[in-house]
Amino acid sequence: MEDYSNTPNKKTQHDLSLLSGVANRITKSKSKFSFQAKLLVQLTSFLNETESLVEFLQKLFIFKSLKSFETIHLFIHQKGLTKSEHLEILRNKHRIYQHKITDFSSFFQSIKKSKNRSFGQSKISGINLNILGTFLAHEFSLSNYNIIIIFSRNDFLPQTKDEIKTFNLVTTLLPSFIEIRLEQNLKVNRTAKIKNALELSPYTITSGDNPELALERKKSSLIDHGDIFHHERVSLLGELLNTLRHELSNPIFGLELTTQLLLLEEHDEEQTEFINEILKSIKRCQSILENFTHLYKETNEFEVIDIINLINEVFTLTKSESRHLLKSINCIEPNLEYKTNPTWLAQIIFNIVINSAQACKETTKATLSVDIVNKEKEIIIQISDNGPGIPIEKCATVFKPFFTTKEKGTGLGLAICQSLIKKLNGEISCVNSDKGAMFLIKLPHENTSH
Amino acid sequence: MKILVIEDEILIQQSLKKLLEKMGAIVSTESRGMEALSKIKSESFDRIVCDLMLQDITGFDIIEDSKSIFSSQEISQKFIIITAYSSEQVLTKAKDYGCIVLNKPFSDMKKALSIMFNGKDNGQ
Repeated sequence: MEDYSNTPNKKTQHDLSLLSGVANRITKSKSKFSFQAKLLVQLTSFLNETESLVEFLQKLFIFKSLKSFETIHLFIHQKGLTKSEHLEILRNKHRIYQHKITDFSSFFQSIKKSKNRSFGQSKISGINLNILGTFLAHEFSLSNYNIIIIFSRNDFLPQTKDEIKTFNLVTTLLPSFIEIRLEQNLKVNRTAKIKNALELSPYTITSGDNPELALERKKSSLIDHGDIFHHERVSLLGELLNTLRHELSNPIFGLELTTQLLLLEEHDEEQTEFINEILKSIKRCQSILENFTHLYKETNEFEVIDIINLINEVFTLTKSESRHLLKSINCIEPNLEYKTNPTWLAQIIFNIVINSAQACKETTKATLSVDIVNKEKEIIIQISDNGPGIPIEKCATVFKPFFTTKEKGTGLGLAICQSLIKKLNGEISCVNSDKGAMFLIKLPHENTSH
Repeated sequence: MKILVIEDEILIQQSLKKLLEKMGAIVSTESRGMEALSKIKSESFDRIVCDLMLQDITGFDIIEDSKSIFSSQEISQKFIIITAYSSEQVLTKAKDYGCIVLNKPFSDMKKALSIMFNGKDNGQ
């Protein structure tokens, strides 16, 4: 695809290919990595500072190399709908348009096919952008949406190398942020409707029959947006932790080596003891970082893990909250390997352990046992405690969003567990038991990522 | 035995230098890739221990550039890659060059040092 512009085409092409070469080289080096990390932190803070997608995108004009841009156009097509939405965003205002899906699709495809990121209006049929000169465009697919993002300066000057570079960097990171915002919007709309319905209701609505267990929703503020976004934050936090781990492991290794070197020299007893203590602390840092590696891997990755190891790692992470619980794992096979997404599975077990720890606060000699049975078709993980338990009529409702028995609970923990276990093609259920609470997790052996 | 250690984390670089010197090697160090390259071209080293993530260029860039003075067999014997981020891509690429990859932190310090000192012939 060719450019529509007043700029000498060959030169731009040449510059671009040079740039992508440079970008590739930098990608491997640290300087780019930490720049990306900075950008990631910056985008995260934008996300926290703003409420809506428009506000979030308006923040992008703050970036130095994007200052000269006048408009951002965002085309959003929610998969399954026949119309696409088009946001035209300026620094202090925005407009919303709608387009036919056919126009959107042809635009999307032409950007996808083009190696160049630079476009002119003449290349788009059906959609009038009101843009002068060339603009930078990028397209991407999210699980529920197809998106096109355009940065335009509204003049005939060609984009500078810096602008293209920043645009490329920002747009590689942007998809997950836009996704978070879009999913939030969906949820906010949904919860706003529920909230409205509940508030209009003349009755005090309780979430169950047993008044001791059910909270009167009218008394507590029903929806705390902070809680709703908790899950998204957790996954974003995972990404940040990963960055942190990468940045920390090298200097800590330097400390380890130097300390070991120190040990080789002559010291009196007290000094040697100190150095050994330092070494122990370093080793502890390393093993904590190592644990995070297993718990926060990139999502959607299925890999073979040792289930017992994973549960032990979860126990380590819940240590401070579940100190009063005597925990045990029972499994006939010492190394039970299973292909799964370890982050999700760990999150599910983490949630159940934390719930149990909170429920068993008053229980004397509280225990939590995890029994693992490897069957022909599936692995069954049974997690049970000897706390107050869950009454039989509540067993089905515990997975519903906003169901909680805790004073400060969000009612989202188990709902999230259920959505995660579905992604793993498994099942989770709450079983009535005389001794306490019991959860069953079933993981199929024939596991294909959805 | 002349060894060049290219590593930008100074504590790692200096500790490796001391540890390898204790084993009897003559050790030079470099933090930056470009300086390391000119050293590789002007001096002769029996072994080059090279970190992948350097501030200016990557360890693979150094190896690629060294092709002008070393045969591919020499490259596979001289270069030892040390890295904290050993993805599958990194391992495949290292395999193409025939180089040994050591993961940081080293799980077995003695073995890692022995590989650096003795290269492929010994210690694996």
